[in-house]
Order: sequence, then structure tokens, then C-alpha cells
Amino acid sequence: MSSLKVVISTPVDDNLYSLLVTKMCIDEPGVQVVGVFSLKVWSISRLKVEFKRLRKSILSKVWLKFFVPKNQSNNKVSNKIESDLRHKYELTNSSLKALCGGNNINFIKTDGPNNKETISFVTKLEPDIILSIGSVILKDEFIGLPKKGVLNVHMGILPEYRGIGVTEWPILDSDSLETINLGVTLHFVERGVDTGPILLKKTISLKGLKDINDLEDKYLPLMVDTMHEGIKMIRDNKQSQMIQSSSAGKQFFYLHNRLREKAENKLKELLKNDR
Amino acid sequence: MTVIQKIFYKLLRPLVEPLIKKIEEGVLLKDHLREKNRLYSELNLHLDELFKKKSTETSSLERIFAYLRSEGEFFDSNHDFNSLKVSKGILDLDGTFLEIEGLISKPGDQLHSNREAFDQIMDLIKRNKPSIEKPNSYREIYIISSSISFSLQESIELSDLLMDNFHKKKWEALKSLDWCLSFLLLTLLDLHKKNPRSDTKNYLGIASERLLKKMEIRQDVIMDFRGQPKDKVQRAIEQSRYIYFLLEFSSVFNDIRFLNAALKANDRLYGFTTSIKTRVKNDLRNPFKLLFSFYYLINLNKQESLIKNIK
Repeated sequence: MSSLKVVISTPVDDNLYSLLVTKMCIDEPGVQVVGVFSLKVWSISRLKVEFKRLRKSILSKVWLKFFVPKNQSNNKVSNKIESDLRHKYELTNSSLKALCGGNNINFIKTDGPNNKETISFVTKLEPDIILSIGSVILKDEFIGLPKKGVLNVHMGILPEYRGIGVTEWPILDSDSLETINLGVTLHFVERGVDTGPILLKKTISLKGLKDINDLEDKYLPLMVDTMHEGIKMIRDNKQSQMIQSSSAGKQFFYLHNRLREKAENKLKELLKNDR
Repeated sequence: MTVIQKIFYKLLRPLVEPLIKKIEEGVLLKDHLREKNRLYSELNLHLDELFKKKSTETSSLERIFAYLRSEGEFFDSNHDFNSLKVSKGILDLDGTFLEIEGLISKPGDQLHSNREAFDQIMDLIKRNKPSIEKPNSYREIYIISSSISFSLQESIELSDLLMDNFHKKKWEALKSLDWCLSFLLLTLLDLHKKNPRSDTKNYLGIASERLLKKMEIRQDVIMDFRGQPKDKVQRAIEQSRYIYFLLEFSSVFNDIRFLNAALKANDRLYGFTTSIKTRVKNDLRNPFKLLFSFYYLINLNKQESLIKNIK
């Protein structure tokens, strides 16, 4: 039986989620990572895309990424979770370049997934599947490259919560802790925003959390596990897909600071009452 | 982390971190409140000057300001939004700015009965086919239809004709918004509020999702419209009408996504609002600046009452 050929698309060279997924794929029998590409940090096109996405928050991102020492930045994931995950997946590298170099995997840094250089890199590798990490908009040409499709883990429950800010929107929509619909969804990427066929959904329990900041620790392990499960399903040809109806969900956008504050306070209150 | 990075961090931190905090905070409620109070004070100071003038235009404005003056509680510059009562004051204010909209578009003779108004609107749509070439038709339709109550049958006929005139497929494929198209949405939402129908709901759902994407993705400070006038104030007014629609839509269909978009759009307009000086002499006869000020105040009040109602 031939291996499932995988290409991994990542936003930056040292992204922990990307490192864990790549390591998981390297170690998984019957799966062959044939290439990884990461986006260049300093390129005009990258800055344009990031500015369009982040607008005024771009300064904050640049500051945190390049100037703030790691021990002083508000890491999204706690050190304990990072250490546990590194241990679980036996990950010792801190950069994809080093991880790929040590495993004879093709690695390049590009301006974006949709540009000529990337398309040519991926085409030569003839992947069965591309794992997309990050939130860059993918064009049809890129989506059509792998034989089986492009996979993505969305940080929300589909089809109900498409788009951005979907860790906070369900809190505003709910009246009790039990009805807050948080979780992740593994789906194939299509042209629309989070509209592709669904492979897996996993919910997040809020029991035992203190506040919204604790959520990050729940997401990362679940996202890696979901990607792992999905890869095995595709390798074994055991996947069943659920086609999303276009009218089934809504698209969400960044929350205004005041609504985010409302969501944070509401969750804190619900968690406090639950104790 | 290199030594150079550490040095940079220590040197730049006192400058950069407060700046980032300010940028991340964006426009605060207290900024909007300050602007609201300033606009109100300036509008109030205008009253005396306007009352001295006896032209037709100012006599209409006089009525509006006289009315506003009687709404002291609503416009009390000392109160804040927490103590604001969502009451008759706000509802009546909606009617007031409709009057100003009417004043600008000059919709024609006074109408005597509902039937007459209905016939006039139907005629307006059938004959003129409101479009990019005749954008004022949509405004007239909105102003007339907002001020009268139609029978169920009339309401159905009117909404069907409007939806047929600008088919929902056009919304799905819309690249840029036509000038004054906001009035079409406002009219249909108004008709739906009075006589809810699945067809209108479906149409408004498609149009509003498209509008939401346009406002959230592009995040223009002042949007561009197809067939727009050169005047920036008029464009800001059209944008404010869309914000007003988003807030109304959010309220009618209980969808916070539209309030979220309106909050951000209002923040983006904040800088422009601070440049509106209603007391400047040349601005005195500029009804557009007055109208923009009214939209800003109304939108602000609507958004605050909606936020207050979120559980």
C-alpha cells in the first residue's frame, strides 16, 4: 500500500501548532510528508495580507513577535500545555526548517500559498493532501493541487460558526454554560469561508475553567488531535463527509472590543455560578 | 533573542507599549459621548441664529429645532447612555431626521391620504425605475412610505415591486453599492416591521449578509458608492444610513453580528465626526452636515440601547 503524500502549509517557521502537526505526520505510519512551506515574515505581499487582516493590530503583532522576550509575552498557550504536547509528540525542534532538515523533507519559505513559486513547489511534489495551517485565503488553483483536497481545522463548530471570533460569539449567543457551542471542525477547504465538506467535529467542555484565557489551552491539543484523527481516516479511506448547506450557518467577524468584553464577563459569570 | 533585540526592547518599550494600548483600545464610548455632547451644544447654539432667518428652508429647520429643544431630556448634555431611557424621545427623533431627509430631497406636494401616497409611490417605481440614474427616487419612496401606514395588500404590492425592481440576485453579485440604495433596504425593513413576510425576510437576509461582508472586510473609513456625489459629507451620510440599517436589522432580527459591524463602522466615522463643526458660518446652511450630525446621534443612541439589552 502506498503512503499518503502530505504537504503542509504554515504561517510561520516557529508556529507550535505547525510543528506538532508536522511531527505527528512524520511519525504516523503510512503517511509521508513530502514538503512543507512557510510564509516569509518580511515580504511586501505578506505585510499587505497581514495589514488587510489585522489593520491597526499589526503593530502589536510585530512588537510581540520580534521585540518582546518570550518569558514576558502573554503566551496564548501555557508553558505546561506546550511542554506536555512536545513530550507527547516527541518534538524537540523549535523551527520547521530544522525539523524538515532532520527528516529530509522539502522546505521553502514563500510569499504566499497562491503565488507561482508555491504552486510550482507543490505541483512537483504531487501530494494527496495539503494540511492548511493559518488563515490565509486560498485560491482555486491552490485548492485544486492535491488529489484528495486541502484540510483545515477551524476553531469553531461548523456550519453554525463560520469565520472569525468564533471562540467568543457562541458565548454571546448562549444563556448557560451547557449551551455554549465551542469546539473545532476538520473540513475540506473550498472557495467560500469555512464552507467545505466536514469530516470531524469535536466540542470543548468549559467545566473547570477560570475565564476565557484558559480556553487556548483547550484548543491547541484538540486541534492537533483532530488533525491526527482526520489524517488517519483519510489514509485508511474511512472518512465520511458531511456537505454543508450554504444556508445552514452564519459568517462571523472580529468582535468589537465592547462585545468581546461582554463575552468575557458573561463567561466569567457563568463559570463562577457553576462552581 | 539576540542582545540587540533585548536592547531595542528595553529602549522602545516605554514608547511603544502605551501606543499599542491606545491603538488596540480604539475609539472609546467616552470619546463618542464627548462628541455627542459637543454636537448637541453646537446645534443648540445654532438655534438662535436660525430663528432669526426667515427663508423657507430655515422655517422648516426652525420647526425641527423647536421640536428638538422640547426634547431636553434626550439631549441633556450631562446625562450618559447608562441613564438613557429608550423611549418616545428616540422614536420621535427618527421622525425628525426623516423630516430633514425630506427637506433635502423635496419630495413634492403634501399628500392627502394613504391611497394617494400609495399610488404616488407605485407610480414612482413603475415610471422612474429607481436606479443609479435616479437615486433620489429611493429616498422619496422611503420618506413617503415611512410616514404613512399601508394596508396589508398595499404593503405586499409595494415590497414585491421594490424587490422585483432590484432583484436579490443583484445583491448576491454586488461589487459596489449604488448611491442611495440604503433607502431601498430601509423601506423594505420598515415594511417588514409593519407586516412581516417570509419573502421580505429572505430578501433582506441576502442583502444584509452582502452588506455585512462589504463593511466588515473592506473597513472603509468613508465608503465609495457607485454614482456617488463628490461631497464627502454626503457619502458619510449614506454610510450612516447603512449603519442605521444595520442597527435596525440587528434589533428586528435579534442578530448581534449587525450591531458588531455598526459599532466598528461608527468608530471609523468618529474622526470624520470630529471634523464636523456645525457652528462654522459656512456650515450653517449646509443641511448635509446637520443631517450627518443627526444620524450620528441617532445611531449612537440606537447602538447603546442595543448593547444594553445584550444579556
